[in-house]
Amino acid sequence: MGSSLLAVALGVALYAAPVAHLGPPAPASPKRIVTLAPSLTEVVLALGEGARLVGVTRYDDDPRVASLARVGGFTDPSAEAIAKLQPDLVIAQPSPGNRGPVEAVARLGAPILVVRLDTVADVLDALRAVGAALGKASAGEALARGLEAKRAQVRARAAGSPRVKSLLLLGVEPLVAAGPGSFAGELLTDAGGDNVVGESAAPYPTFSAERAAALRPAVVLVAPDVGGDLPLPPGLSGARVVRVSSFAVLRPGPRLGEALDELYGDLHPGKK
Amino acid sequence: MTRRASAPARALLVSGALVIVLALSLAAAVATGAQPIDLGRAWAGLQPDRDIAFSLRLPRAVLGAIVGASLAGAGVALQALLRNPLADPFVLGVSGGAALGATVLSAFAVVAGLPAIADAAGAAGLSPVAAAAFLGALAAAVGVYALGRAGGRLVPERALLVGVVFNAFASAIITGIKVTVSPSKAQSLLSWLVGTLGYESPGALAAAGVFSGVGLAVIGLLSGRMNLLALGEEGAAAVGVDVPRTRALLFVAASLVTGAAVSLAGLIGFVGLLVPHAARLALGPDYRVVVPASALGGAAALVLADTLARLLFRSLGTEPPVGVVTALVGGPVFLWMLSREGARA
Repeated sequence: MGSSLLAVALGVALYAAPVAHLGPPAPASPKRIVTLAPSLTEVVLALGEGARLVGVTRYDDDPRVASLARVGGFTDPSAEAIAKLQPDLVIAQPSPGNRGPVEAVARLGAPILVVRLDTVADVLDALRAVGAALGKASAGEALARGLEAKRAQVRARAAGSPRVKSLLLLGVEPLVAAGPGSFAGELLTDAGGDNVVGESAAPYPTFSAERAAALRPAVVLVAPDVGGDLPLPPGLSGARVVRVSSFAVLRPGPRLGEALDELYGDLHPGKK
Repeated sequence: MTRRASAPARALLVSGALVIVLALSLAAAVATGAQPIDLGRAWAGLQPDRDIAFSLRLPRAVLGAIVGASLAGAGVALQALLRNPLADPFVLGVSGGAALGATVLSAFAVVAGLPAIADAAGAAGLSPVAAAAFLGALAAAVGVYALGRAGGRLVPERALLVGVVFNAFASAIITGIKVTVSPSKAQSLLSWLVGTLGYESPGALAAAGVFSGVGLAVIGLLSGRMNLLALGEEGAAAVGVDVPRTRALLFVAASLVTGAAVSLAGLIGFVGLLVPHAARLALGPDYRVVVPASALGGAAALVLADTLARLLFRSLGTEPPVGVVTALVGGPVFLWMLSREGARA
């Protein structure tokens, strides 16, 4: 019963695997692709296969997909809108909110590729898996190797400077930070940050203003979609506050290299 | 004075009319939605119109009908039990109890590393999560009833207050569980708490239909005795009703259908309150007529509310949970009915 309740029942079995397939097998070279997250659209575009896309989410902002049909959001895709496009491949990032519609579309006979995008390793797997699903395995492999090389390069640069005690905020009310288990937290460490969140269990821990103040970060990075005039709690006033300008830090896909450059520059001003 | 038709004949007449209304509601739900489709093409089996109409919209409309009938049926049973027209599974905390049972078991299953328990909810049949919803509903119903008694007699206002307080308590615990999960999980929990209809597999629909059907049948069979319960405990016993037994059966049946509805669709308000109320206003107090009218009317009402939900925000490419629509429409309608009743009294 209740796929909606199942969504509440948190990560389970198939839907929680790093890469999973639902519905029938996809054709070797699908021609009508629907992506259910902007990061996944960016993977298809980076593979040079944007012409095969027929539907994207309402959050997709790349000008190359501006004219495509919208099938709802990442957490609330419309099963009807996806079915209407008669895709021969749907690429989805698992979320408790989209499980019901995605499974309904799979029951209708659409092949679905589900890829997790929680960590950098997940992203590397996803680049390869999406490449393979599009019949472009070597292009996917090249994207993954490129990102690995970029990571190594930024790490090497960061090794030349002292580590910066920092906090990457994805929300202000309440305070939500990138933990070490999230891709954003991993990038922060790569770029030379010493993540004051510590070895927290949650990928995106929520914490109190008091705890944030006690952690005494030297730099507070604020993600680009956190609105307003940065009403940071008083305890953080001693830190240097940087508004991250690139949305790439919120997109676990091929633009993570761009995100690494941005974070390195934010942590080490004048060293660009 | 015109002679009224006998109750069974009236029940049959009203049910027949409402079956037609329900059929029209289902047809409207299948014909309209986010995507423009051609029903002729759908009927001829042409894709994607056929899938959208019959594999997405129809099962969702059937789910709405099952949940609507369950909530309205539980509402009638609880109103008869508490002899109070304000009783309904939502207000009394019975839905809250079901949600609490389901949430606690799900969270426990995850913490204990037993995803199989949570996952079994995807299979047809009696799942542990649905069973937890039923037990939570039953515990809340019995608790409200027991604490609503004073001096050996049920005090309806007291029972309602206990329900309101329990509801706040249950949502506090669920909110507490919510802050411990990730933001995206919390968001889906929130939409479940507001009440939302999704896409269920045919097996899950059939299982829910069986549980709701059994519960509603029990309530229907007891509808004659529900009339006598209106005389009060002593009065009902004096005319030969086995009051404790009737009461226990009604509590279990109301909890069963509420548990089925909540585990499928979350906390949808107002259907259980408004539909029986409207049925009584239109058809009089005889439960032998009000019970089938409420079940069928509740089914049609929720199907229409979900159709409205799917159309309302169509231009924005999204849809609100159906619970938002039932509350938006139900709140003002209830106040209007209340004022009409006050004016008449």
